[in-house]
Amino acid sequence: MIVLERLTKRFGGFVAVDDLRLTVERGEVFGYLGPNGAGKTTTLRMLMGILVPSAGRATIAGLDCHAQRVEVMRRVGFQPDVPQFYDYLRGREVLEFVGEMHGLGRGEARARARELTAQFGLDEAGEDYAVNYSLGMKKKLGLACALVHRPDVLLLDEPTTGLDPRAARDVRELLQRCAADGTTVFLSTHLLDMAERMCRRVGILMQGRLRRVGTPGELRAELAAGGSLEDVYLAVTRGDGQPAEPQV
Amino acid sequence: MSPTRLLIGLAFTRWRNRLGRTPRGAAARARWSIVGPLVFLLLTLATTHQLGAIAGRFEGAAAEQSAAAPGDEPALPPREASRRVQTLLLALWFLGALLTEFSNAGLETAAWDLEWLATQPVTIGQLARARIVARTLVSPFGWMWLGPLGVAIAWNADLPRWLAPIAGLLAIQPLLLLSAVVLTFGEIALHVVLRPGAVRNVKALASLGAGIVLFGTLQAARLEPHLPTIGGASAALLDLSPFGLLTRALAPPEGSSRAVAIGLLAAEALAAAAAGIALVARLVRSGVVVGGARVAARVAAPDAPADRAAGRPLTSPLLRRELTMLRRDVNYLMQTLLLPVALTLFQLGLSLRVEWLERSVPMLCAFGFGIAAYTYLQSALRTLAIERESLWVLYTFPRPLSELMVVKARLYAGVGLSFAAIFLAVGASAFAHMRWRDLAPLGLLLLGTPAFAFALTALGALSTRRLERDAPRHAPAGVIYAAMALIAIFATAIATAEPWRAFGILVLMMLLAMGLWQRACDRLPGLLDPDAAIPRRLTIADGIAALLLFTVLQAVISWPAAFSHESVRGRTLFTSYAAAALASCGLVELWLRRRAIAVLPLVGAWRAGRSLRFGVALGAACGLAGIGWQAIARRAGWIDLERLLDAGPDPGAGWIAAVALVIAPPCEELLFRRLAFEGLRRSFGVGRAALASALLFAILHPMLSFPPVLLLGLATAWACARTGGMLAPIAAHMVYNLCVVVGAAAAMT
Repeated sequence: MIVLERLTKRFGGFVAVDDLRLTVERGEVFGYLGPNGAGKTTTLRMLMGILVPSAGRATIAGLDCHAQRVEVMRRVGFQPDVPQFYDYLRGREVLEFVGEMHGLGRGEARARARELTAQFGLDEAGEDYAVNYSLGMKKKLGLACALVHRPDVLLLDEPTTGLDPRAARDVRELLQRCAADGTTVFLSTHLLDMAERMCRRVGILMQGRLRRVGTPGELRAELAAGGSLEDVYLAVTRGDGQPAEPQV
Repeated sequence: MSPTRLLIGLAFTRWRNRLGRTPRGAAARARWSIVGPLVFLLLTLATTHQLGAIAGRFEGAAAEQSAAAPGDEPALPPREASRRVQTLLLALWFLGALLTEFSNAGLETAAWDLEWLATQPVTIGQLARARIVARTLVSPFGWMWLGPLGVAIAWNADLPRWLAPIAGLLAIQPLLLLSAVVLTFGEIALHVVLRPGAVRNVKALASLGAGIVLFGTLQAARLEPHLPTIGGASAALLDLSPFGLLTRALAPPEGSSRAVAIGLLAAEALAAAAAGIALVARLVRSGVVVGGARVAARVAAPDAPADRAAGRPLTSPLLRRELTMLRRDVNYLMQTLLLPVALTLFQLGLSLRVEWLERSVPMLCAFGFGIAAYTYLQSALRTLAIERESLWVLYTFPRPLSELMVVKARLYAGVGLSFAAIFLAVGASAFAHMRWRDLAPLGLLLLGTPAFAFALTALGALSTRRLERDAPRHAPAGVIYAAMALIAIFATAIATAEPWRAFGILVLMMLLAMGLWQRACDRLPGLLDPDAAIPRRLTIADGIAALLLFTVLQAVISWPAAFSHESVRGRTLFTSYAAAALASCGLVELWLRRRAIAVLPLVGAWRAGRSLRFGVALGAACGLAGIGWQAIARRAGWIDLERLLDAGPDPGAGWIAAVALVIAPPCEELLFRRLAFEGLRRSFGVGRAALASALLFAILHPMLSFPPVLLLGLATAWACARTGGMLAPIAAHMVYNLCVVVGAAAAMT
């Protein structure tokens, strides 16, 4: 569903993402791990067509994320790391607006917005200006925006950061239900236990390069026998010399 | 270090960074350290001069009054009259400084710094004190408003001249302290009581107030001399106010002591500061964010609007969102909708005579356009800047961004046209004097107004550089000035338009709008990516720029020859045309290479031989048509052959033929086909682009040859599209010119 082919992004002389090769299957929950500044958000933004790759390309459902941006957006829901919203729009209005921009009818968008605000426990805050939300509420609204058109692919940048424990668990369950229904979920996260529980496979990114890709079990067996994904992560991101060849 | 000193340092650093943009930019800092004092100096000089003049007028008027009525109750002594005026001005400017400072403070940002400062180990009292002291010292707008006036008052007083600047600047310190107290109290009160959106709306009102005060002070010179001679209780009140005390301290009236005035002034300022600190402490006794931001935002939720039947909405969701934001954001609303009207009324009421508009349709149209264009400066030019950090939302929609821009541009065009229409309706009496030729300015207004909405929306999108949290909500100054220059040119064109010239200007403006739009569409997909290497594509703007370059170069080069003997005209034409053609084509080529813009090659899809044969055949066909047209023109008497024959052989004919056969075809093909036609083609398709470029081509040729040249333009554009290279159109153009030259020569002999 998601294919990265030698994807590279340079900012001036700085290489943020370097020669990524990766395939994510339909219905898979893929965890994208790595330390701060490793290039996770940059990758997600390239998948969204917000950043233009310096070399290589990213495709979703066979469509080029940059050249065929519009077609890709029909299939993709995106939640940025810190969603920012319009100053003078209420949360409910933001959701309705996003729904209508994705082609829902007015009444349909309204119903969907009500459904999602209820699902995320935002009904009370729905009438506040979204710009005044706390981080957790903004993240919830961002996720609701990503889900409003029932996309085939979800690109989520740290979806549970800032959420309270119950909301975080609800989101995890929601994503797993989505995946069971065939939605592909590509999520970047720092929460290793969440990645371990949710993701079929994880990729560990460091300094722009994908150091390891595999199921949590495979990686544990290879790098930290008897340990946890955390031990794997710590081993991979220790910065011990050459990057390993990605196993895709 | 004490918290007060730390906070003052913080205020200084923030202002320096704000002014110098890059904190480390030594050049920027140097610029500000020169520009700042220079502006201050100029303001001081201007204010001193103006104040001297105003005071002189009032003193004169007071002297006249007392001379006219010597027996009556004692009139105001002349010096006292001028002091009153100064006091009034000082009060007015204090208000202006306060409002400007208030509208420029970052009060509405989510990260309000006092909320953060309150987490430091200091008491609220200390914080408030430090804030007030910092604001007193670091108050750029206060210094810029009050400093020059203080110096000017001191200069016009009896003080020694060398002392005046120091005394003036020292004297305004109590006022700066007062302003700091009011600001600090206002800021905290607003944060505790209102939510951020409302704070921004209050700020917008403050900026409007500052504008009105500024406008009022600029009009102060027009005040009637008897206006400020108020008396009684209000005069006493004014005298005891800080403003009155300040003028008394600088220029004490006879029999009053300067020391008393200074002492009273200082006491008033300090008392106000103490009261301010106490009030602030009371305000925040239960926390810095008591009712602020999120808590206050919890308004009672209105009942959810009743569901309507799902159907096709009449307006696009983007348009509805734009209207909602326009309705709620007082700042946006005011600047877009109210300020243009207010400014126009001010202008009409104060500096222009309304009779102009009542009599002249072109003037009325130019003014109508001016109002529309002003709304664009505030809306279209900020089209993406107002999205700021929420721009990412637009990037997640399955719609091309250009479509979103069209929705916005249409909205702005609608607003602009409504303003223009209202203005025309108000000045409808002018239409009683309407002449046929006045249709030209009217047409320019009606077509140019929407065209400008699109052009400025594109310019706004192009000028959006950074979209970070603190990115400015306005277009960069350079872009605003460029837009204003364009608007001024067009408004002048409307006011003075001859029908034919109006048509030319309109075509040029439409093409320019088109070019900007194309360029903006190219740039939009990579707008959020500072390092995106998006390939540049050819736009019609490139074609227009190249044509203008060629025209200007040719005019400049041939200018000296305009005064020379007739026999060298042909050679001059040759040299100027050749030089301009070489230079402009060369420069265009360089530009295209540097920007890596792909253009048609000389030999494209068809091989050279085949292209050449095709071009020659096409050129011959057009040439025959051209010769036929010459015959028709001679028959109809449009060409006066007798007169031409009487004039004898043209000594420069050889040169002119050389231009027509060798230089013009490649040069014109490069300009009209490779740039203009190709630039239009990407947006309009082959047919319409061919027609438009051929029209442009024909308009720029002599009127008499319009039909065959139009045909040639269409044919060469078709050749371009068909062969995918420039060889065929160049060949066709050469053969056509050969036919026409031979035809003309044959007719002459």
